[in-house]
Amino acid sequence: MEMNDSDYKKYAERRAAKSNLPADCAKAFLVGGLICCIGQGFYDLYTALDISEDNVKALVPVTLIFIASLLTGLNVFDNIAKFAGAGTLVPITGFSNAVTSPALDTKAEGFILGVGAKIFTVAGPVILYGTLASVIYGIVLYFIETR
Amino acid sequence: MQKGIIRLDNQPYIIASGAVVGKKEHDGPLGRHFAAFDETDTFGMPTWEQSESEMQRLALNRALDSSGMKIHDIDAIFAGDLINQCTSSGYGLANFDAPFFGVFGACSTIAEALILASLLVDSGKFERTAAVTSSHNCTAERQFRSPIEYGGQRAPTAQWTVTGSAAFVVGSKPNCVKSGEAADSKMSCVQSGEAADSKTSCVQSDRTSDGGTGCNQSGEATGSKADHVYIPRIIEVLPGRVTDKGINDAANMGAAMAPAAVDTLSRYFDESRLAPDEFSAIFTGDLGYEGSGILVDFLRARGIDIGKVHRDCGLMIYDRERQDVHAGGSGCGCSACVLQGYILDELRKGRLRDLLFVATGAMMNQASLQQGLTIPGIAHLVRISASEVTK
Repeated sequence: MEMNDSDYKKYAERRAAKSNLPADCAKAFLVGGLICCIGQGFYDLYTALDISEDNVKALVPVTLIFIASLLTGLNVFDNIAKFAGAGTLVPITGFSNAVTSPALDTKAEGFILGVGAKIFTVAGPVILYGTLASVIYGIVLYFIETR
Repeated sequence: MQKGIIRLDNQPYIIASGAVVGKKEHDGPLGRHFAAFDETDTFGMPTWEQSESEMQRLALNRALDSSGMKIHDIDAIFAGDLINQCTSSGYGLANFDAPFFGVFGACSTIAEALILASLLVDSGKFERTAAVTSSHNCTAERQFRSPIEYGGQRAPTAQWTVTGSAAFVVGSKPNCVKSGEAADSKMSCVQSGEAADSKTSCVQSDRTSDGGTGCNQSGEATGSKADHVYIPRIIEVLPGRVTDKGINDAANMGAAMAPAAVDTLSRYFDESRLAPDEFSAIFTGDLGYEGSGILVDFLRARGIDIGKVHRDCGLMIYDRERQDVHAGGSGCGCSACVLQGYILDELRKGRLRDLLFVATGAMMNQASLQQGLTIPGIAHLVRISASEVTK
C-alpha cells in the first residue's frame, strides 16, 4: 500500500465519491429549460403590452436578472442552484447571482473596498474575457465584411 | 534524535471544558451534547467574523464557569482558528486578562493547543492553561471558497466547515468538574477558584444528554460506585509532522489529510507497541468519509487494524444522509466540539477509559491553491485516559 505521490493522487481520485452525471444533467435540463420558459413568458407578456421588440429584448433579461438577484438576497437562489447546477448557472440568472452574492458578502467591509472592489470577484473573468472575445469577434467581422 | 511519543510524567487533568455550536451542529446526531447554540449562527454579532470571535469568548467563559474558575486562575491561553492571522482568537479572547499564545494547525489546532497546554502544565511552569479554538462555516466560506449566497454545487468529496468553538482547561490537579456545563444549571457543587486545588467533590453529568438532575449522575450512569468520579487526563502526546502526498484538490481535504494521520498513528503504534484494540476508541479529527476510508486501508496494509475502534469527528457531528454535508464536517471547531461535547462526557461517565484523539489539518490557503500547490496535512495525537478519583 506504500505508494508515491502520483500513485496516491490517482488512488484518491479513483476511490472518491462521484457526482451522478445523468441525474445532474437531467436536473440542469429541467431547471434551465424552466428558466427559458419563464423568459419566453415575459417576452410574450411584454409583447402583449405593446412594447417594441427592441425594448422587449432588453426587458426580458433585465427581469430575469432582477428576479435572480432578489432570490439571492432572500437566501433562496443558492438552494435552487444546489439542486439545478448548470441549470441556473448557465442562463443569465447565474451571472446575476455571481455579482449579487459577493456584493452581499462584502458589504461589511464598506462600499469602496468591500462592495466596490470585490463585486466582480466571481464574475470578473467572465466580464474580462467576454469583452476580449467580443473585441476579437468584432475585428474578424470587420475584415470579413469589408473584403 | 527526533522525539516521538512524549509521556507526561504528571498526567495533567482536563479540569473544565465548554463549547458553543451553530444550528446545524445542534440539529446533528450529537446535538443533545451541545447545550449552548445559536439558531441564527450570528451569536448576536453584526458580521460573521465577529460571530466567530464571540463563540470563542462564550466557550471559554462556559469552561471557566463550569468549574467556578475565574480568568486569573489561568496561567496562559493557547488559541487558534482558520481566519487570517487567527483574528477570531485575538478578538474573541482580547478581554481575558491572561497571557495568550496564538497557534495554528488548521483543523488540527485543538490538538496542537492541547499538546502545548499540557506540556507546560506537565513541566510545572504553569499550573492551569486553556486551549481554545473555533471555526465558523460562513467565515470559512468567505475566506476559502465562494461568497455565502453564491449558487454553486459542492463536490461529493467536499466537507462542511463546522460552526462551533470549544475551550478546555488543563490543570496539574483535579478540580470540581461537572461534565456538561454549569452555565445553564444551578448546581451547588461549583467550587470557587480558590478551591481548585482541593480534591474533587462531585461530578454532574450533562442534564441535556441523559436527563441527569444532580451530582454523581455519572456514577449511576456507569453503575460504578458513587464515591468515585472519572476525570480525563492527558497521558501522552505525539506531535505530528507535515505530510504532503500531492493532493491539490481543496474539495477533497480528507485525502490530503489522511497521509498525515497514517504517519502519526503508524509512529504511535510502532513506538508504543500497543494494539489499537487496547483503546476504547481512536478518534480522528475531520478526515470525513474519504479520508477515514484511506486511513483505515493504509494502516491495515501496515498491519495496524483500527477498523473496530476508529471513529471520525467529521462523520459524528453531522448526519450525512439528512444534513447535506457531503463527506462530513471539518474545521477547527469540528474535532474540538466533538471532544468537548461527546468524548470528554463519555470519559467522565466512565464509558470511555483510554483513547487516542488525533486531530487532522489541511494547511493551505487560497493563494497556494490558485498557484497549484499541493495541500500539506498534519495530524497531532493526544492520548486521553479517564482517571478514577475518590471523592
